[in-house]
Amino acid sequence: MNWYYDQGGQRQGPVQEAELDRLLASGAITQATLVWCEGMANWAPLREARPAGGGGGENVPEGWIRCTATGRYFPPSQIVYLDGKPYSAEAKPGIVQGVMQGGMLPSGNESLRNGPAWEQRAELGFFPAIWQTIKGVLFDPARTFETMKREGGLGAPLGFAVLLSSVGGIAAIFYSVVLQLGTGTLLPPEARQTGMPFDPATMGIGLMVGLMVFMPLFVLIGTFIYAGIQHLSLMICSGAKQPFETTYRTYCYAAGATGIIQLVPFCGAYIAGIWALVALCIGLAKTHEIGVGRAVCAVLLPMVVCCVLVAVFFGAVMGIAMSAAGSR
Amino acid sequence: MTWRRLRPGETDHEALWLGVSLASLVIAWLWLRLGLPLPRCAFHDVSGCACPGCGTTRCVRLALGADFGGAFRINPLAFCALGAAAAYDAYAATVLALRLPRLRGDALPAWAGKAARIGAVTAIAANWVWLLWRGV
Repeated sequence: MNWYYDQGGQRQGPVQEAELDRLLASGAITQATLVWCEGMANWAPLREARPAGGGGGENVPEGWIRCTATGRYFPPSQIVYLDGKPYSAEAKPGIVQGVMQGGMLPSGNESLRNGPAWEQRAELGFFPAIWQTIKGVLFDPARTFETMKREGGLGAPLGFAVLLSSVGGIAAIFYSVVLQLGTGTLLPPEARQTGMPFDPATMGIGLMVGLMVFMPLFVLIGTFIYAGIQHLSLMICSGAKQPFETTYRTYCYAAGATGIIQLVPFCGAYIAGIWALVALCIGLAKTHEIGVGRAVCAVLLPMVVCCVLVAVFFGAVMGIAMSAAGSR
Repeated sequence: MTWRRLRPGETDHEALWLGVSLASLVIAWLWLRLGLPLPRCAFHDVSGCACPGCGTTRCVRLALGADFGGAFRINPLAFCALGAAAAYDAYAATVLALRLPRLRGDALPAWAGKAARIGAVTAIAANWVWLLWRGV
């Protein structure tokens, strides 16, 4: 959860819970400091905005710090910082078990959602962050989406999706053209015989280039449209437990990571489509914290209702590419 | 539903969806202008029956040509969705231009959500029956 706090009349933030605790412990803010987070109608003193134990009503002594794993407050002397987050001695068995079993700190708390790696590309480096995110979404989607930040803006996931899906989409068009050139079946018979308003003989190479150049724009708009449809579908299935931002972020990481599979010649687009559905089902289940069955229903609903948008747009793009290549 | 100012860090849905809507409109216009092939329904090609989205492209084209009756008959749900999108765009442009508070449903009662869900599913199903009956 992102918090904003008032300091000298200026809004500061956003900061995570752990950072807020650190500020509290350091004395930079007090329980009387005005804070605000998503879901609050107005700014309120910290002691009212964030009661101890996540709303339990305990009276938190000044300077105590909230344990990331248990959500309870402890004096600073009983807190250790692991991976930059505060944990209490009480949480030690759970932490040890989590590390032993999964090689990671226990999740279940919003402050533990700091992934995927793309969100830390400044620290990890551009290409390692991309690679780790792709690897995570493709081969360990459950853990990747379990630790995905549900808030944090649309820009980072949008960039990820546009970059990878565009590369994949351009590659898919290229392979399709090569395949059709090889087999000599570039145009459907009716197009060859009767001619169409779209004349590949005059638009072939230009259209191909145009499609490739504008692919990022198509992907950009497409992410919003598809994620919007997906969120509506989640709402219909009673699965939208988080705001649109969460659905959008999930969709972008799932679509981006699987979109790059289209680099695999010829069959890549089909594999990417199926893998994207699987990643999206798992992702929505983990980020919205709903059952997998409900997530599957939500993912498949637009496929049934909007098959025009999903399947046919792709077919049209392929058709244009094939037609364009046929002019040469 | 309440009218309120955006909170710090809150997604500006009005700017976002107005932008997406306008960009989609420009692309659709360019697509038609260039005479690019229109989408075909894979479900229709395979089964011979209309899918719930069949006729959407024709509906949009007729509506843009001001043939609202024809557009409604082709796909009533798509026509209503188009109208809703146009109304939302007008609202979004107004609140953005005049810096007005935004309409938000922060605390919708449970019955409203349930009614909306049932209404949506019923509308999709009824629309599909219409498309099948009309042989769109």
